Amino acid sequence: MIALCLVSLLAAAPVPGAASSDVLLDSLNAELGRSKKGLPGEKDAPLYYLAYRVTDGEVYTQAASFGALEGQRRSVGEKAGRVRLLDVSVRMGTRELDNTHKVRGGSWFDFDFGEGSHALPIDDDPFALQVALWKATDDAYRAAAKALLKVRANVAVKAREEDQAADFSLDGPHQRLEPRSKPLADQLDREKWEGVLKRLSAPFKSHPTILRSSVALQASSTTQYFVDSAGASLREPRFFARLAVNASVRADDGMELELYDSAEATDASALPTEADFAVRVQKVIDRLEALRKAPAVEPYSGPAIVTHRAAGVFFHEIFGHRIEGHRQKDADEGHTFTKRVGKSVLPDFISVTDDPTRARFGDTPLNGFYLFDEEGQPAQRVNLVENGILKAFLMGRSPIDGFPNSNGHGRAQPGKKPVSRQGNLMVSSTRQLPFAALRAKLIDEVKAQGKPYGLMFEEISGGFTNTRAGGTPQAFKVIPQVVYRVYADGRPDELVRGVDLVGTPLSSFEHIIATGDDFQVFNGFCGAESGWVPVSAVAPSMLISNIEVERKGNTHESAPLLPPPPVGAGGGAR
Amino acid sequence: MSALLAALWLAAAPPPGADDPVLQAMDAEVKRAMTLKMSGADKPYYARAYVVSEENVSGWASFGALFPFSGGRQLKLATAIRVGTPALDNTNFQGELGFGGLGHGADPAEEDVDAIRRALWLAFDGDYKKAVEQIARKKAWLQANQVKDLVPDWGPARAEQVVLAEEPMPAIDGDAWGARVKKASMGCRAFKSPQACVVAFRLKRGCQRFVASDGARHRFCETSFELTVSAQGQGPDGMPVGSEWKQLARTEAELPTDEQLVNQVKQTLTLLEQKLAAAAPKEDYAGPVLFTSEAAPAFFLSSLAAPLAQPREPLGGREQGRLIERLGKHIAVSQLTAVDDPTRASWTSPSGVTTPLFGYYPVDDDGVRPQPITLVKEGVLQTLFMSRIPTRSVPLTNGHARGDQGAVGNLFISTSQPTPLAQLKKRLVELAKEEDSDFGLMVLKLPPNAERSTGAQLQLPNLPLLVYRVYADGREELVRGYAFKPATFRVLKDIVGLGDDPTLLNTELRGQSVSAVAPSVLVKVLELARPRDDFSKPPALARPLVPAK
Repeated sequence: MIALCLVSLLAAAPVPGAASSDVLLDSLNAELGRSKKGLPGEKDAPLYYLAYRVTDGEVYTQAASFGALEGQRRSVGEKAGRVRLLDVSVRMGTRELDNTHKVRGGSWFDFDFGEGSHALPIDDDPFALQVALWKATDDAYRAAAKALLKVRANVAVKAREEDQAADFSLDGPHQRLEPRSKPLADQLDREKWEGVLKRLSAPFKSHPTILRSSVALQASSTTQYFVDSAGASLREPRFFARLAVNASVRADDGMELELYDSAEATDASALPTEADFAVRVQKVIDRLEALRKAPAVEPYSGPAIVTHRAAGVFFHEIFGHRIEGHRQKDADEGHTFTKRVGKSVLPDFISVTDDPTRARFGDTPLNGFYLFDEEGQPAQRVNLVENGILKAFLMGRSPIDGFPNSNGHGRAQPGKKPVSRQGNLMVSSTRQLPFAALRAKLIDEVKAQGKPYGLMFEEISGGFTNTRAGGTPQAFKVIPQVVYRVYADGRPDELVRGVDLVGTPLSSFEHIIATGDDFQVFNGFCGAESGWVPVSAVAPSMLISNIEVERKGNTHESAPLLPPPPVGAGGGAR
Repeated sequence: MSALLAALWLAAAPPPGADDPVLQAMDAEVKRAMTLKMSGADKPYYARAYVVSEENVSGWASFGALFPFSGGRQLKLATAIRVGTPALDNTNFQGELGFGGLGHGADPAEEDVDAIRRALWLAFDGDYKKAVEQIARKKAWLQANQVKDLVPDWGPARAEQVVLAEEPMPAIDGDAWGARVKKASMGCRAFKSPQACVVAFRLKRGCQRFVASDGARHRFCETSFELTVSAQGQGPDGMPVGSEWKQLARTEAELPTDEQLVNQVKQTLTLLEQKLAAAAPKEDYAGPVLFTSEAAPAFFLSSLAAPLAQPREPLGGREQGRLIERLGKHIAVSQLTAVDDPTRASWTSPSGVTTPLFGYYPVDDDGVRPQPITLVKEGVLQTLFMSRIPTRSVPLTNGHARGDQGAVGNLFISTSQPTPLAQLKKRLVELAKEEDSDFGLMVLKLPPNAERSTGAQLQLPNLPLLVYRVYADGREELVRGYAFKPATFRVLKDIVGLGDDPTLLNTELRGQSVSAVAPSVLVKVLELARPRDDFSKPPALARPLVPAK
């Protein structure tokens, strides 16, 4: 511990080239230095690490529904939509055992969700910034002292933990100061976009069976700051925009069916044109109308193709969450893969990496791209599975036995504590077939199993997976949106509705028998303990010899009793 | 013949607001809602819709720097349907369903007629399906339980049409307001103790539109400006201590000037420092309490207005001993009279200063014109805050529907025996002596929101914000940390004196803007607890120093 403190102090010398006119960065460093000097920690529990993480910039969200803006039309102005959010990380005790150590056997109330972000002034006023930083640091310092008492008591009364890894890795500090992000207003004409959203959402008006629909633009242009007591000094601009459409229809039996499509961009100019997105909106409408009339599926078990984007979500949910490092040391987790390093976990023709350093796949931007994670560590490509053999886990700065260092996957949304998360999960295969051949192979498999049809999953909106140990099974459920029956007798494919894909992870992977060569990107947001983070999954279509589906739940709500009101009688905003 | 012509002309005359497309859209959907039906189910007998168009901007500054603003434009839609008959419908039943039907998603952000009609269509559809299920449950409950003299669920009222002019939105210059609060918050720097210090503004303008199936309709607009100064610190014993000032106004002209605002920051922070330096009591207190200044109207909002709100108890409810049960009986000392008059838009103090009353409304949330009511006359409870939901003792509305049920608007407390404050203080000390105390307590400020009182138990706002000990020699000593213990409504009968110094308080009570005007009031005995002694330690590191110029 003494050695570590010395390392910290030495490393905390000013970063060469860091001196700049960035008042926020200077203020972060100034208060960090003052706190380090003035906050020794509690009795026999020294404060050994302090970090500030700031998200500074602008966010904008606007939605339109049936041709009119919905929700709130936010004020346009320099200070509207501005965010400057601070997260403080205080570590007290020793690197081996500190206040962040998981308390075992605690109640739901003991779960550490993070304290939430602290708002900082948006004016670059050093004194006001330092006062806000001081108050937030004091709050975090008190919380850490309290948490450490709980941790020590818990460790004393519970049995020795299986994973004896330390609470904090020895990874060194990094310095990199990228230019700050550009103002959102310079990149996005909000008033123009309001018109676009209204026009894109208007076609739903002529489809009375579609009860809810929304076209939304979400954009953020932020600068991420990270400084710590070990000497880290990072500044990274991030831009993100998403244009999305979602709509739902109710089938005659009351089943609600929802479709979603989105386009992501890491540069505002890369957002789709209005005309291009209008085509995608129309596709959602057509598919919803078809889904409404489609037959509801019955529970089924048999061969299926999960197409590229859907396969990406499938892997993200079922595989990706189980190779997040922190889950391997958490006694409450299921540890599906903890003891499988060096062993086969996937078919030998499949390899998996997670590569947040990659900004694009072909022409498609990848949501999970970043330079540094929320613990100040550089993003790294990680070979998770090579030819079916598990090689590594996704690591933040919480070490596990055999993996003492971060590989730049400690991620969180503002207000949450970072844990290891996926970035760009990429599945590759050495057994690739053109899609037509994959489809033919599906039909062969259907015939071999004596089934009348197989299934083809085209879109999966998301899902959930239980990684925890205890009473609930290690099962997953993903929610397909577009599913076809592929008949063995050559009949045309038939759209069906009301399918949930269920199963257990290990047995599902065993049944992958071939993949396509049609890699595509799924971009989305993933929610877990450390909040919502942008992620991507890249995968080819996959043929699975046995997959299980169950019928989707139904609220049994009836359709509206009256027809919708006439459109256009006096329409238009006032 | 001329009578016939007049009748024809009247029939042909467009209703007020006929040129308002939003009201037209609401009209159309309310009419359609009345045709909702399901086989074998009760039909609607009443439907209504609200559309509130709102624009707001708010922001704050601390220690001379701005924080992000928030605000924008939005609509808030609400609908309600009653099925069955006014004598027995789907409402006023404890097992009411919280959610039903499809819902209509997010409300539109703008006054788009198609979007409003679509949202109302789906909302009414959900309301109707829920109402049908609800009345069936209620009837089943009534079959299984004995209920004496079932009170009707909905009372009669004249269908008022109050369509006022659409006020243009006052130009809101958020940046200018930001500059004002930023400048004023520079004053925070001059004080060493505040850990937090905020100067904030909020500007809001809303227009409420209402259409009901019985022909009632209204439209009126309101603008409000709000300025607050608040500061928090921590006493040497760790006790968190705050100081706050707030002003509401209808126009910018009513707000303080920049210079006055700067002074207000100074005063608020000076008071914070005084409170931090003040002693914390070591013992509980039981004795007389004098509520004066803003604490007097706040006391009556808590002890009289809040307990008399929502007078109709839902079927199956079992809250006994409420103040509403005392109709026609003495609930307060006979020198006290309480009037509620939501028709008054402003109040002029004895010193001649005119201030807007935020409890004013031209028409209530049932679409009924408000009536001034004498709530308490010479200590006797005369009536209740009534919406169109009848109670056993008062069957008709008096135009006090605020949200779902009857509640206060502008409460005026008066006395037949006004006593100067100096005499009340003297009496306070005398009464304290009878309770073996060297001092009586004088409260100048109570928190804005009333605690929830249940049954016969009264809970005054828990932590009074500004309390002095008053001694026999006239000395007044600031003290911090007292908390009111639960009392009973007997407190209104324990009033031993009322002042000659009416003070106005504009505030919010359960989400509604309300006003109260009351003189100082001396209560014979109330109990307050001393503060707990397990506060967090003060910060380990001192606040950063203000940079030298």
